[in-house]
Amino acid sequence: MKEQYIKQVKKELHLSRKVKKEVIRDLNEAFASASEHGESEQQLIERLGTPKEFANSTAEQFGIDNTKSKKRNGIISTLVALVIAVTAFSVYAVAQSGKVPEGAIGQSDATTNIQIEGVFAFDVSQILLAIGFAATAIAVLLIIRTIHKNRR
Amino acid sequence: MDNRYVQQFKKGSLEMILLCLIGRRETYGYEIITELNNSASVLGYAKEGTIYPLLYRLQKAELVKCRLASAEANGGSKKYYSLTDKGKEILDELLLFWSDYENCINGYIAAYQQEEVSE
Repeated sequence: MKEQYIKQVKKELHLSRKVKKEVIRDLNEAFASASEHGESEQQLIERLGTPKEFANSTAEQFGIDNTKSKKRNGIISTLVALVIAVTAFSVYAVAQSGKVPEGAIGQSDATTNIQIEGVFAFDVSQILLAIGFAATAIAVLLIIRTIHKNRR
Repeated sequence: MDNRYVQQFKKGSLEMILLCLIGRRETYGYEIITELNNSASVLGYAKEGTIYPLLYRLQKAELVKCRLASAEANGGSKKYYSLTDKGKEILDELLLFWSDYENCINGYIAAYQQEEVSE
């Protein structure tokens, strides 16, 4: 019962490794002290609350909102993915608009140069497009996950 | 008698109580809980889930320090808490404030009770 409880707390506690180690040590001490004073594990666990409650109230005292930090990380990665997607798409759009339209007649005075640039821009823009789509897909997945989590 | 206001009082004074307990002599987590539970009729039952985190916070604020000592009886180690110089200083300040606070509040209470009697 004790092992199970501590394992759960470990899972629910989102703190630095050092602090976490400290908390788990203290929890072990609490169990040891309880049995030393003739208290059952069950009685102690009743006082401690659920592993999640214990983890959250502990993290709170370290100035970390245990429940929110995970959510915040999700939001940050969603935003990063969106920024990457927008950047990739807009750079792609700029590259496309700068490209010489095929069969353009008016720009014939600097042909060689423009053609090389054109070929180069084409390759890069494909990669950009791929990055853009990938980032969008990640962002959408993250948003779906967040919504799904909030609903639970 | 556990309304919101009572809970607020308890919450606000718990850290001072902890500092008093730790300041008296070196003590460890379970002992703190047990001693607090001697006044459970007034303070309510102390829980590890509340007290341990408070101890972390006091430690982080450098009001309390701790040392690990091996404890044969419980097959591991015990963490003994004591006040730092800063902790002692803060506690003295708190106690000074507390007596002013008490006098002040008692003044209001006395005025209220007098009025009530004369009515």
